Amino acid sequence: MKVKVISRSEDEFTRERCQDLQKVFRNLDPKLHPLEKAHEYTRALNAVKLDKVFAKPFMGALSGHIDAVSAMAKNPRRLNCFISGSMDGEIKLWDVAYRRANQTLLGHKGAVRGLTISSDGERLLSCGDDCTVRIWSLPESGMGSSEANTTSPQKSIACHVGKNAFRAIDHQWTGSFFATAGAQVDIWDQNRSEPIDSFTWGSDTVISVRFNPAEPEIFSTSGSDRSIVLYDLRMGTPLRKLIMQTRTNAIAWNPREAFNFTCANEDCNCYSYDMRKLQSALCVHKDHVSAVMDVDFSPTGREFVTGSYDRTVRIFSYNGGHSREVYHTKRMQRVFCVKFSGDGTYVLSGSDDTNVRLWKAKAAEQLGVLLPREKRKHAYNNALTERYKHLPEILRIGRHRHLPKPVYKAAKLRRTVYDAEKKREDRKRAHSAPGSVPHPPLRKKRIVAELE
Amino acid sequence: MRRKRAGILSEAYPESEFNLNPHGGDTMQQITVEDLISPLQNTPGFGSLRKRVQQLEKKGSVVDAPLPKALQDRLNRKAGYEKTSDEISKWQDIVKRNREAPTLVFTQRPDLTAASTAELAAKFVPTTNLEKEVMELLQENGLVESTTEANTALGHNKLTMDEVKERREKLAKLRSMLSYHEAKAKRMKKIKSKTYHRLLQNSRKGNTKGEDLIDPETLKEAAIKAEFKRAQERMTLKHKNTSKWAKRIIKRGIKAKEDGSREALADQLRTHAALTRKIHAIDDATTSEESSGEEDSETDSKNGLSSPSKPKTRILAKAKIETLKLLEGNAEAEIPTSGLFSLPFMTRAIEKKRKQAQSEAFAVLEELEQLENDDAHIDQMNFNLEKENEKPASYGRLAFGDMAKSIPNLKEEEPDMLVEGNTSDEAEGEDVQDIPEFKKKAFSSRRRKPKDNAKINPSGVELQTCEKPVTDAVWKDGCNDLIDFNASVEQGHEVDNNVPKAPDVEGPNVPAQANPWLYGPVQGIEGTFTKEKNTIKQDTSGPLVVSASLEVLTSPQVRRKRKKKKAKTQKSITPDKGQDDKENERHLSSNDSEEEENQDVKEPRFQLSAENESQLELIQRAFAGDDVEADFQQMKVEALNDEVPLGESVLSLPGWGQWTDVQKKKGPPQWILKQQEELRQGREQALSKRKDFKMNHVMISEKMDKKFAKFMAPQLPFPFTSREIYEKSTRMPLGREFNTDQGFRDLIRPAVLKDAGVIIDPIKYKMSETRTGDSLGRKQEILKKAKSFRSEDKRKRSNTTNSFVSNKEMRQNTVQKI
Repeated sequence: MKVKVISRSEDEFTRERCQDLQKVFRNLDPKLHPLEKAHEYTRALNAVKLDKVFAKPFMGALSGHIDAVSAMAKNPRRLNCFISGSMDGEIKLWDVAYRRANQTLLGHKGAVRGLTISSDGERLLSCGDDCTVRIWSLPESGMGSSEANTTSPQKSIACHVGKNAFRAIDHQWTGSFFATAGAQVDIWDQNRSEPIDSFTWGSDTVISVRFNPAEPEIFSTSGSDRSIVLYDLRMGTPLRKLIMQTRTNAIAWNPREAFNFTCANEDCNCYSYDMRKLQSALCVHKDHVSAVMDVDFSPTGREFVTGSYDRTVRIFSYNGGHSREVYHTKRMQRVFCVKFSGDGTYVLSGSDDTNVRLWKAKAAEQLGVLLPREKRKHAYNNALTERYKHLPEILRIGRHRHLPKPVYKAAKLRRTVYDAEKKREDRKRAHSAPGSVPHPPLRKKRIVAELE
Repeated sequence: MRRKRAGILSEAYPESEFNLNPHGGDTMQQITVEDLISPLQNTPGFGSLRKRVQQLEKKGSVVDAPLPKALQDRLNRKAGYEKTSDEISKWQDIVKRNREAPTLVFTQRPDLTAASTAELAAKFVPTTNLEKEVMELLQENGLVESTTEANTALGHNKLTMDEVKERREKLAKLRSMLSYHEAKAKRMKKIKSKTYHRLLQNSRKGNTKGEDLIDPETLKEAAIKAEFKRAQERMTLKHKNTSKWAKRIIKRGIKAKEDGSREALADQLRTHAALTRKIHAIDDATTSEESSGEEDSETDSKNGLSSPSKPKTRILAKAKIETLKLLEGNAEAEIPTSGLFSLPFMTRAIEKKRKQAQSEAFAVLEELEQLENDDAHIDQMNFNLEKENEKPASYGRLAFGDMAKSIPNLKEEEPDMLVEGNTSDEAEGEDVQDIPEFKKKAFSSRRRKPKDNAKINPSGVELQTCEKPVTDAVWKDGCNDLIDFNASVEQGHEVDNNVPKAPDVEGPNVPAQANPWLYGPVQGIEGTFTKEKNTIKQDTSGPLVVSASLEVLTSPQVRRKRKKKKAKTQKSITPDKGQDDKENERHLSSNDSEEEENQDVKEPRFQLSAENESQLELIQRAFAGDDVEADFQQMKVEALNDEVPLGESVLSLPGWGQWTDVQKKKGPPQWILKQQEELRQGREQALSKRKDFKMNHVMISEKMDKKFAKFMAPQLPFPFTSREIYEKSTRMPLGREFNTDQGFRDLIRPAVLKDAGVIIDPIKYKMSETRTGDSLGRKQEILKKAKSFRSEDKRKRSNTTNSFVSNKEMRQNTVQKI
């Protein structure tokens, strides 16, 4: 009789050090794993619950301003260089890691309306209600920048005075031009005191301006005439104007998709557009219950963050109709500006309560250096949640977010209003000749006109 | 007044070359363009200038007023927008690819391409004093320069066009040679011939003309040569000691002393043997020495080396003799009287087998006869078989006795009706009876494969033959008759007497015939063998009814006519159902033991079979008892009651509505009735919403399993278009327990890979990125992307490693409340 025996040398299975990993032998024969799906479902359920347990997105508040934060800027070259401006004209340079202001610049007489940093990361540009554009030199920040700079307040290296108050400013991603918005759109060169070009189309105030990160010559503005206007510096003219039913407060270009941008609208929604096809939005992002004040894309181009007048910050997928995440705290007031950090891991929001808040982009993400096994574990859990996210239990747990009561109620109210409108529309349709009352999709509904 | 005034010119300044009179006086002519350009006459390009001026003068139209500013702007904007839109569309492919990519990689990978020593040496700059001294020393000796020079020379080593061409050609040649040899080796490996390999081996061993023999062409030539030699040998018998010299030696006596001559003789013989034997050797590696001449010639004909020149008649005669021998032997063979084979059932089996063999032999014999007779027609037959649309001269209808004689006339009259296979006439039926049984048998089994014979043969007839003592005389007689018969029928028409169907035939053969459950009324199949049943009712009073089905090769032309006849015959047959049933039952119930068969055979029972009954009738009869539809309806009602129950009402409670006599008399009160009605209506509504509401033969369960619903998506998730695809997408488990390590990594790879603390720059347009990497695998694509991202991030960043969060906080990761 032949007896088969497993024989393994003990040396191969003995750890030399306690840190050594044991080799695990696995039999991958599917017959031996009859309940794999059940196992994985349970794991997914646990993973999504753990996500809830560890969902602690709030990292900290950067306090120091004495008025509402009205503008923010991130450095395209340095991660830890973050600037905020407030309604009282103060500009603060933050050391985010230590949550303190490195420098405070006495910026403007009135409110700081716009902040931006040049493409080389050396200059800070600010504009405000005092009709000036100021250029500041950013301090070299090395590794030892942890100590607060308590030296005397710095003076701006240049100050350009305009005829009207400026509402917004943005710098090219490559190049030396920057644009200011106010009564008209001005294009400036950093080295000149006069604007090199200015665009007007209509007589209403332009309230925001944003350059395209991928195509540095293209930029867009939004105006108080409810318009979104596209420009190309090479053409020397505005390109097209889109008028919506409500005002657009801010625009953000997708850094990975050159022709797509998202705009934050007064009607609580965000609209993503393809600049070549303005007849209809690509996607309508709904969830806010009050005007969206600012929007900023993640550098990965896969999601964007919005700040709203309803005191919440939301993170949307670039093609998602509803937000993936909603952040709020008890004390956070109207959010006026939001920014994604340069590495796509953090989100900053500046609000009416004079604070800049730092959030994680993924609420349950474990920060710090991860071991490969930890990384794999997280990836596995995420993959499981992603796979089983459609199953009712997991969907419910994964989607559940606690909302402040006013927001919750407002959402409910909005829902009621929407339903009522829909009902009315349906009734109208039912009592009209067939086809006479069209079904306009929401993506087109809010567009008033596209002007050439 | 005015004229006067116009005449008077008061000049403020005196007229000079700087103050010309604009109107010109009578004396001065007006200055024209030509006047101005005339001084340029001698300068080059004057001609073209004058032409242009002339053209301008000719046209002389006024330039249009510019468009209004607003309109101009709009046009500008429109053009600008179109241009920009076109230009920005260059991103389309990149965006699409990124959107479809399973993973976007933004992680920075360390550049692991190690620098070579030469590179390091080239970059080396001496800094310390020692290094400088060493360098100086090296330079003095000219070592440094030489190395750098060599490096640069190597780097800038450029090949001329010709050199490159030459090199390329050389490489191509090498490659082609390599591929040729490979192909050759492959081809040779494929050759299965043992002879070839043996020869190959021999040639390698001897190494004499091995290389010649490797090539199949040469081999073939050699074979031809050898064959020629062999033929020569056979013709001349040169080596069979027929020469004068050999004869002389033989005459003198083999025992003569000359050893050499004897050996020479032996040699000659050996050569002869070798030459004649060779063909065997080629034919088969395992040569059999004892092959006879006959076999030799057979193999020859098989190989096609010698043409099959033997007259066919000879073969036929031989085959016939052989068959007869076999038959005789078979008939005379004795049944063992002792041992295992003497047991009754064994003897029976042996008997049966022998009979089968005999019948086969008969068949073969018959066929041989046929062949002999029809030798002349064979070619025509084949031709006809190939061309079905032509008149099938070699096939025809079965005719017996007198009918056979009248056939030629019939043929003349209606050539199309040659193949009728219809013998339903009563007279013909009588004729059938006249034919000796075994003849019929032989006739029926003709042209049939011996293997199938036992099955196809109607056991009744077969056993009849076996019942009679088969003697030589009888079967010879039969044979003669057959031959005569064939002669009379002229060209033996192919007729198969394929006999009665299931119920008629006892024994295990039944299902092999035609199954009435499976086949409906027999139908002809186009252009193939057609089964036709001819049920002949000879005598309605008697039980003897001949049921014969003929398998006839028909041409489509004939079939049409036959259809009419078939209809007629079917009309004439009125099967007695009741009787039939009884018969059927009896036959089906009878077991297949040999004795019973034999008994049956003694009085052959021919009867009307069930094959004329329609399939539908049969099925109806078979399933007469069970009403499936009603059962199903009941089941459905029960299921519906289960799934959509009538709600609880007061009446369903015991005792309600029956308390008093009044209620009993009047029935339940109005409100209860109303409630009842409402419940009923509700149920009806619920039923009408069901999917199977209007489907009488379908029952769709709409019961929901709440426990199981937990594990099911309530509706098809968005990106999926079908349920199957969604289910497939979740089929493969993700865990490490179920996947290989690589598989696990691939499956769990997140959609975005990025490092915390590394700035991700906006996308940059590169021509290389527009190329689509469809053919690349997923992993390669990711790697490619990673590469591009790496190159993007090459710019120096001073503080990228500085994260927002200090290490301490990372570890704690606590929540702060404000």
